[in-house]
Amino acid sequence: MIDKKTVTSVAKLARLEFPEAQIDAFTDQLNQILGHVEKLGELDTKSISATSHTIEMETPMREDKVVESEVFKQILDQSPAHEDNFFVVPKVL
Amino acid sequence: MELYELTLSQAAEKLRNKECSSVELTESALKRISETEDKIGAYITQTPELALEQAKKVDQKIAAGEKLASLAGIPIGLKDIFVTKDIRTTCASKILENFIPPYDGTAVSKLKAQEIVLTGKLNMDEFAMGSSTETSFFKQTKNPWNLECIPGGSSGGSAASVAADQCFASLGTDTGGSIRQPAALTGIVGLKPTYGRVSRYGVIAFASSLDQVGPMTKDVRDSALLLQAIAGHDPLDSTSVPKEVPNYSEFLQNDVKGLKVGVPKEYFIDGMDAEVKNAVEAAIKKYEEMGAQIVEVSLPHTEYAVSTYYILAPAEASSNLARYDGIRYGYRSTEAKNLHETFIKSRSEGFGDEVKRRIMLGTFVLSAGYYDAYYLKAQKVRTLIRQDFEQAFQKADVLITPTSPSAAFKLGEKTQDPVQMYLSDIFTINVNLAGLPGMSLPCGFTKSGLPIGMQLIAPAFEEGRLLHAAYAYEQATDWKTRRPSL
Repeated sequence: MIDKKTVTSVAKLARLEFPEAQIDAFTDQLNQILGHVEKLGELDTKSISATSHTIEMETPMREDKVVESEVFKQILDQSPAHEDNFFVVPKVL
Repeated sequence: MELYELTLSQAAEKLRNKECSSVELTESALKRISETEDKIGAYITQTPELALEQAKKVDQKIAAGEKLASLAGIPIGLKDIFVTKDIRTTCASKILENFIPPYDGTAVSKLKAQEIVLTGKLNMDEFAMGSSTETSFFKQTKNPWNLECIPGGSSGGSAASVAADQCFASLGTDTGGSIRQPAALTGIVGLKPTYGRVSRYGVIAFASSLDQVGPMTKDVRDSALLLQAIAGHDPLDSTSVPKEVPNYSEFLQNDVKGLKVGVPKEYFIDGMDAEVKNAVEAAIKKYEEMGAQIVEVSLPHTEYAVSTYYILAPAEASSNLARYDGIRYGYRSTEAKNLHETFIKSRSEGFGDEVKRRIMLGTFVLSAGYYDAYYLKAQKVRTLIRQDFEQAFQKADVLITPTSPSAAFKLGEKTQDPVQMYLSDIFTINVNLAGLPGMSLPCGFTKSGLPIGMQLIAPAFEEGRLLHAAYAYEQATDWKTRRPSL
């Protein structure tokens, strides 16, 4: 079971904020989902290795080459705010 | 008969034989869209001018006697998760409402190289998180067979558009069933290839160890054709597998004598919808009549799949969706007073509830103190699920199961109950966890006239085997001749 306090601190980690009423609803829903996944506890997995990837393969390597971007301007144009070659953000300090 | 009623391969043949032009095919599809889109709501963005321009180009090449690729000139739709150069790509989210990508993803580039005609970008659940297309920020897509029902999800727009003859085929993506379940619920054919078979480059990421791209088509032959066009290794996706792509059309054979069709007993459970159960059992009988050998197999960890998935997928999603911070692209809140608030407010205003729920769940299971109990545990159970399939495939060539526990449900029926919604993927999730290819095709209708789908599953990289088994069944039945009346 997780409580409201945990949900609030998870929200902080996830960079999300919720109105008070929604925190309550989320706490209920997350508990419902976590209650369902508790089922995995029935299985003994001590000697089982973890699967993070289903296809066995090596990390492909390529040469680390510097290339000019042809879409530099289009990429900048997609940003909510930019100036010269930089993304503009609210004042940090 | 209207041109839009043709299958992809029939349309391509007509075009090759000069019985129609690409412009005629395109005008027919566009006419169908304008006649039915108000009812169906399959598209987030339509691209009719581009479509006609592309069609004209193909017709000019035909007139000049140039040799064309097999899909040239055929109108096809794309789930709005595929990044398309200069065409808005939203992933059905407010946070990407105005995003215009500067590049094409690999699947899109491959279709463009074949000179397909693009009808537009199709509706979906926001960031592909959902089983009904109801979490889209933009609109609700309806099931062409019954406008009060959902089309399934997350590739609900892709499924509905093909079922309604608005395009000759579409591409979807499948993380836990998002191609197969909507295909089943709309009476079309949906194929999720083996993880690594199709490049994920330029597909907006949900859960990177599970996501895969696949064709959604009117029949099995079209599925082979479209898979052929998109499969293969891509250096731009480090998880794409450098394995030769066979000629998939060669697998379209009627003869299934001696094919071992495995029936996993855990997929035929008490309390499941009787009409679905009967339809799939009738299909098993059909295979037997056709000379296939039916064998019972066991996938003992099936009941753990949904729990495993709802730890792993949200964990990966919470990490993937960290990139939406309001800085480089996407929605930025105007309410923020500093950088930290820019992150929080942009994300909180930009994401919908289901996406937030999964980010929260994922962040929680990955957070300090909970990682071993949830995430690592789920990865271990994933190993058990994989091993189940390895053992089953020692006895069987393909497996047959229902695709979805029920036919299409009513709009709004499950939106308030996340766990119920998650359980609608109970038969498809395992296949993603094990990285296997799976396919849904029509196998009947409910009394109220809604389509029922069955799922075929094969070992990794044996898409050909799926196409073979599916084609033989399709030829021996006439489900595909039934179309929704709109």
